[in-house]
Amino acid sequence: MMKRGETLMSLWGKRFLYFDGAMGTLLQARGMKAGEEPERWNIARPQLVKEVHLAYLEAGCDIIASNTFGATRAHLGEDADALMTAGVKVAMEAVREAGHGWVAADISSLGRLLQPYGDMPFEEAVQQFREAAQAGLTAGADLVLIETMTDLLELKAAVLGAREAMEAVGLQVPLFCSAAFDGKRRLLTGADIRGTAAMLVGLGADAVGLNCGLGPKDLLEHTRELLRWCEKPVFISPNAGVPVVVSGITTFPTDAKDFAQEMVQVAELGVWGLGGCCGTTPAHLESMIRSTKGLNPLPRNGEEACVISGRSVSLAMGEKPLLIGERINPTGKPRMKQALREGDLDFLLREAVAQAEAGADALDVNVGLPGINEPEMLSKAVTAIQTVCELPLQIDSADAQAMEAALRVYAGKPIINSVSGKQEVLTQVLPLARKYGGALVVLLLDDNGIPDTAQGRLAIARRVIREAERWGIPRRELLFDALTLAASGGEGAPGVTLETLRLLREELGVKTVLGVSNVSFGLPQRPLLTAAFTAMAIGQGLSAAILNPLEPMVRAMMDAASAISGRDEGFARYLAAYGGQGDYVLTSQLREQETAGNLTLESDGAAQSLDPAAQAILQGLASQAAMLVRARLQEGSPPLGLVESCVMPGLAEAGNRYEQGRLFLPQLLQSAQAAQAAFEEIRRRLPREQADQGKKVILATVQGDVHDIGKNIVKVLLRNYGYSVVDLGRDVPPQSVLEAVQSSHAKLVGLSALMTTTVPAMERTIALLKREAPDVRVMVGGAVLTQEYADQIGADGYGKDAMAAVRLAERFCASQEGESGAGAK
Amino acid sequence: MNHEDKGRALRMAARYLGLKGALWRNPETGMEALLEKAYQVALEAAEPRHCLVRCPVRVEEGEGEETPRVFFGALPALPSRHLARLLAGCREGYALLATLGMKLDLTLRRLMVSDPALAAAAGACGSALIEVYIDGVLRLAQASLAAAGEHLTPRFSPGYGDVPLTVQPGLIALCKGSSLGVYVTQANQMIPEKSVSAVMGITREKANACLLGCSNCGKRDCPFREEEA
Repeated sequence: MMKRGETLMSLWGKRFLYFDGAMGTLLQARGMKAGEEPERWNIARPQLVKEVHLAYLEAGCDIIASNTFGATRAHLGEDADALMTAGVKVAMEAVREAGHGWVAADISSLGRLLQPYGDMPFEEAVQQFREAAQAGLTAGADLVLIETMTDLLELKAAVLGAREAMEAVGLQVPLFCSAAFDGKRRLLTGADIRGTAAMLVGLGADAVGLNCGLGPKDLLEHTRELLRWCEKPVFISPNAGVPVVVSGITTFPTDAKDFAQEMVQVAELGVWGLGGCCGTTPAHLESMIRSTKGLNPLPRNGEEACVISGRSVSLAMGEKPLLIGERINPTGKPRMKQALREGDLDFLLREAVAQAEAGADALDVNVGLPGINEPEMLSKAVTAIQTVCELPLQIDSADAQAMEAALRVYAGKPIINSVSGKQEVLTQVLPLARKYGGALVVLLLDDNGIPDTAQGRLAIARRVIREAERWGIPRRELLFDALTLAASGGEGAPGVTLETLRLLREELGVKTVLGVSNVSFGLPQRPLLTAAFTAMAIGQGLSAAILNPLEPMVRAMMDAASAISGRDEGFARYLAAYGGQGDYVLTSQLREQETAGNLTLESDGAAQSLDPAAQAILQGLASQAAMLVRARLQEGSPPLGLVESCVMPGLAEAGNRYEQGRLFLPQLLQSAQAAQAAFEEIRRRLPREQADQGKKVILATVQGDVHDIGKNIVKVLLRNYGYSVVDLGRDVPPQSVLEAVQSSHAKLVGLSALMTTTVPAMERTIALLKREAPDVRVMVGGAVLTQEYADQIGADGYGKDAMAAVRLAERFCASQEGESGAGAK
Repeated sequence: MNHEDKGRALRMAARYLGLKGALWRNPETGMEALLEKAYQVALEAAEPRHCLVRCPVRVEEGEGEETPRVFFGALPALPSRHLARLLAGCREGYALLATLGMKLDLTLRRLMVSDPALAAAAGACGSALIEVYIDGVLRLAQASLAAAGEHLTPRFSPGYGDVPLTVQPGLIALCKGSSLGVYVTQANQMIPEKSVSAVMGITREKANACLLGCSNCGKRDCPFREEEA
């Protein structure tokens, strides 16, 4: 691949590199009207755009950003390419005339929020950024500058787009990336500086910056944080202070002199690139350059850390032993297997939230199952989990395609699980780690299997380090899995693992990870052995343990061992977890027994006749309902009988009371949750075919609509009234609803829409279903709908609230059963 | 949020959940504790931000049956009888954008998985909080206008009456939505969900002045209407 911009890259750290300042306000001063798109001037008034560039070059700026901030299809439609090309060319002309400088193809946000939070598909965003960068590179830009980004996932799409444009053009140029953080040092969608920088460096950014939002003195703490965690050159382009509105006009309070003084402080922190953003002028930049020219950029001494990040939580590996939750993995878990086969992502989400709430630092995500489309399922699972969980994820797959699909859409810098010493695996996974970034788990096995000795495993580690470094992946990004074998399987297996941990730490100075639970496989009282082994591994310096955080004994032992081994500063984590408790309860069963007796049986007439488990459901007491049902099962009650005698009567009474206005929505949901907890107990005792018997309902919030709280409430209720719900999510195109109907053979569809503008999409969906699947019934609901409106758009039923939707489903299913019964005769 | 605001938000949230009057306080409903908890959850996750932009306003009456056209700041001309009536006689107005931020959306999404009852209640509290927050913003604006003998008209959002939602992107851009973290979808819905955009006039006629809350709204059969004091 050809390279451009190498001279520029060679200057980092030798002297300050100066970026330019604001463009829009200077164009407005030259007659551009408010609301006009500045990029249009690249073709309409190129001379005036060039004037601004020249003013910055004359002020001494090195890097000028083309007037193409919004030159993407999302903003400018089909004109985007031409305006990007013209913008870069105007800037190049200015550089030629000035006789110095480099032109950055400037790219910023598409102004749309990406799925799953918003409605723009990730790959569409990548495509738009790719087109913009490609137009800029083809026009001759020396580098690409992505700036003023406020969402982590969009930032990732932009970087991937720019990188893929370089591949397409066959030209490598420097890629500088800058984001706008708020006063709390967070992006608008929550990411922190450390995690954002880690993601950017992992994706191959050549320099990382902060711009916009705040003035130089407000960005000092931000800058310190970025310098500490980012190994790449850092550049800072603040606003001329925080804008204030004076007589209806937005003004920036920091004048050129003050700006320069404040920028000296920024420079003295160790920043190598300096520039300006909103409110700055050539005068600000000129004054800044004059004040800093005599200074030398400081050498960098940031941390050589391996940082992983999720949507808004970032962690530095090695600070303390990390707990990686292991529960999202179908191996040995029939319920998880069933959920994956049915595409029931909600089950995965519940596991994710439960582990996060139990104190996991990161979560492993493995959805590998024979017969499943793993690339599609893994990327869907990762995306869905990131909507409810802020923690970093460990993407776990043996399928390289699945791994890449998930790595693309992941917001943050993940752990990649895993590579090994096997040549084929190295060849597949190292390029992925190189392209997308991520800490990489290295299994210490190779084509000959798992070495029996610690030295044998160490030899593999040495070889993988060399291979990884060849791909430009530094050793600090590698997490070595010393491999836990079952203690029951042979003498000394755990000892070899522990010895390997010691050698990895002492001889190679690398980080380590272990899936500890395997040690107790085949032995009684597994948590006891797993806990002991975890403590011993932490004693050998283990960096991260993959385990079940919902198992109190293991979790507690991990916390205790971390504290005792001096890796929980001030016993902070230990005290936070256990400081307030009396006697710590070590097993989940014991804990349940303690909370057992809280159920007050109802004295109220109708409820009095209910079974205690049904009463617990009515009162919304999930753990009591589950425990009472479990006790009945242990006494030998038939599982299906309990559905009839406990679950359904409890739920039915809750539904009646809701309809009478004696119970309210949150309480109805509590009852539903309690019913679910009871039903999960029963389901474990049922043969699979009976457990799956629920009548299928497909739910979707229609295309264009992103408000799905109502649909989710309906889902909770339906599911707990015994329906098997396929939730297609929000913003669902009509065709997807039809496909789901065809593949699941469901006979009932529920659609929701919040606003009048999306009701036409509902109407289109109904029309398509009536045409292509005429025996399917459709019920609708949502804030703007009425019975009349529902009739008008051809729906079979209208539910004014969630309970009404359940009643409709009951009616439709009963009538369909009647119909099919009649047909059988 | 002061004590009074909190009380109002809780009453409003209870109403959204179908509890009329002071029913939520009745211990038999068991709702007060849940609402209190939900309120705390919503309050902690909310990151309220707003932008109020003062703009020139002009109403161009149509000839005969023709719909009047409203010119509001840099927005394209907007044909609307409702808005023309609201802004009649105003030379200036405010465009308003307020949001409780993305963190609340994500918190509600997480709670919907782990505790749907709390999620529903916290969602209702979020809807109430954005109203109470906006009332606070407008109360301040009102106070500074009063010194000049000016008043605010009621606020009017895209989607009300004959004003289509297609106005949304322009209005959000006018209020610098990107710096507040408010996005518009292709179907013109706002993200984060607890966001409100609106326009209002600045008038010298006290009769047109804004009464906060439900009392200035004509939809008297609304199930969520606040009871008159």
